[in-house]
Amino acid sequence: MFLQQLLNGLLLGSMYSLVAIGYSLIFGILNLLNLAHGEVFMIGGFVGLYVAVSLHQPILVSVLAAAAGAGLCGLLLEITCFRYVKKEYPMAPLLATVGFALVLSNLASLVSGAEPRMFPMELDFGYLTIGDLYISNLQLSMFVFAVLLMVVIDLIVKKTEIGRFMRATAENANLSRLVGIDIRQVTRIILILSSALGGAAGILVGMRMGKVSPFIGSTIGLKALAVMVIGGLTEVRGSMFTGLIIGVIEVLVVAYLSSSYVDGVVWVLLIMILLYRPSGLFGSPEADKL
Amino acid sequence: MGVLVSPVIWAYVGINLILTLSLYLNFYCGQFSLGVAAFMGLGAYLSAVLTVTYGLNLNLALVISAAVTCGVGVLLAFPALRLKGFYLAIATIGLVEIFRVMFKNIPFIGGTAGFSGMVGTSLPLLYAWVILTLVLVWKLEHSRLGWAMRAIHQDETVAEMMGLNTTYLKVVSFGIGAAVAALGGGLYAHYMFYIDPDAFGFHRSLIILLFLVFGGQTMWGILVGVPVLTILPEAVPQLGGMRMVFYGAILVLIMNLRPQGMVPEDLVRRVHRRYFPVHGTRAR
Repeated sequence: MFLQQLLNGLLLGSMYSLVAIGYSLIFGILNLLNLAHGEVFMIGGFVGLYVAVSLHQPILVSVLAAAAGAGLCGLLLEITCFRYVKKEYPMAPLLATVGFALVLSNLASLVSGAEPRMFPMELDFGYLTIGDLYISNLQLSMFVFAVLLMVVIDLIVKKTEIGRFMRATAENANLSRLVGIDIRQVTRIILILSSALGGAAGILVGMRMGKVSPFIGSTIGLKALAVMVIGGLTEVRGSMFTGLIIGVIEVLVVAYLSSSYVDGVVWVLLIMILLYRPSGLFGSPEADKL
Repeated sequence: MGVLVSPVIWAYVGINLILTLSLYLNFYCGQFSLGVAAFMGLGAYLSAVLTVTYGLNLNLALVISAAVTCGVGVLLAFPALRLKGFYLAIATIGLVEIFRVMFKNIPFIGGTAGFSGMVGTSLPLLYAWVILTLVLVWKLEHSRLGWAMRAIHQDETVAEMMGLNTTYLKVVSFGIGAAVAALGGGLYAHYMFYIDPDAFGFHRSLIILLFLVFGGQTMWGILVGVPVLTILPEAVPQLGGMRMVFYGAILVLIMNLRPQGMVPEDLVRRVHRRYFPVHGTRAR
């Protein structure tokens, strides 16, 4: 029974990780907080749902469509909230993303109605059993897919040329500009990449929960923000592991304590982490940008 | 233009003024806090329980709930003050979420179903509180305490080097801000007749932040920005359910075109210097 809960927690947590990585990519490299990431994630869910249900496409296609739709949102985000906003006002891009988030979530609720949209039941792929453990094939494939995406992101940041530019920008934006790195290009790519990732997470979470709601961005999206901070802001790997840990903790809270407090757990953890280890679980203290 | 004579709109304006002043008090002291919705909710529930369950006089209930929330604010200020900038903002988002989950789980105040039965506000009473708050904040701003808080806003390290007790000042600003938010929440509860936990979520803080930023983080900005932003969406009936979309678009536009807000500090100072030259130059 306990093992089953642990497994469910990991599966849930992988979804938080996917969303949280988007936040830490942006914060870690651009030192900007993108509060619209949760809403971009929600848009991904809706695009994926539309492609899967109304256009009857296979799941892989709808995941790709979700990523593309959300990536487009990321481009829009870059144009409206970062490109023309003056750098002299450090709060300005943050507040612009808040505005962008309000527009996205409320437009979505106008278009689709405030009620959640359901995924059809035929998405049930049966179960896999290992000993006493039950895993639905859908959840398992999502978990694998989530881990795969995370590995790809990690490789992009660590191994490719654009990844090197990203890390250089994170280290020192002014110096990077001096050596000829196009910071705007890097900003654009990061926003599109993290948004596309968020969009893919949107459809995966939607399938897991069986529904997509216009205001999911302010629940799961906000939780992922907390996961990012707990994991240590700039650490992409920190966000991955913290997401898994939070997922396990939440499932255990539901199983052994009470389901009604589950939405508060992550925030209590967040505040404790901020007070006692502000660099996060996986952050190194000297990288701390307090 | 029918909205301009609608008492409900002016009640919204009054309540939003108080809530924005609460956030202003935190920003004035350089604290990027988004906890206003939490304190607003606490004030709303406390005062509602006091008047409905215990039959207390409304004004008395408002004062008591503001005092209690002030205490809670001071208690929470001590851990919160160790955080700066984005960290404080994120921690206070957490505070709002924790309070919301708590409100949902207390059956005594209705849980998810909400709490109702509050009566007894009128527009004159509401505006008496608004004017009282405005005067208090104005007085604070022009006192030694206010200048000291401003110094923290400008540069915390320098303020500390000058011998200011920054911890004390930040706790005071947090506490007063919480009390003012509770007052706004109490008035909101009694004007709406019904409250539920989701009314005090993260979005509430965001809207109040929008009011403050649109105005330019000054008293005059609040006095201009809150009525404009509250009345404008209502004055355009075609907007209908698009109100939040409108708010979001305004926020994006403002950040692109005039990130300092409509009435920023240097504008206030320039006008002041022009019309009160002696006082203006001496003060700065």
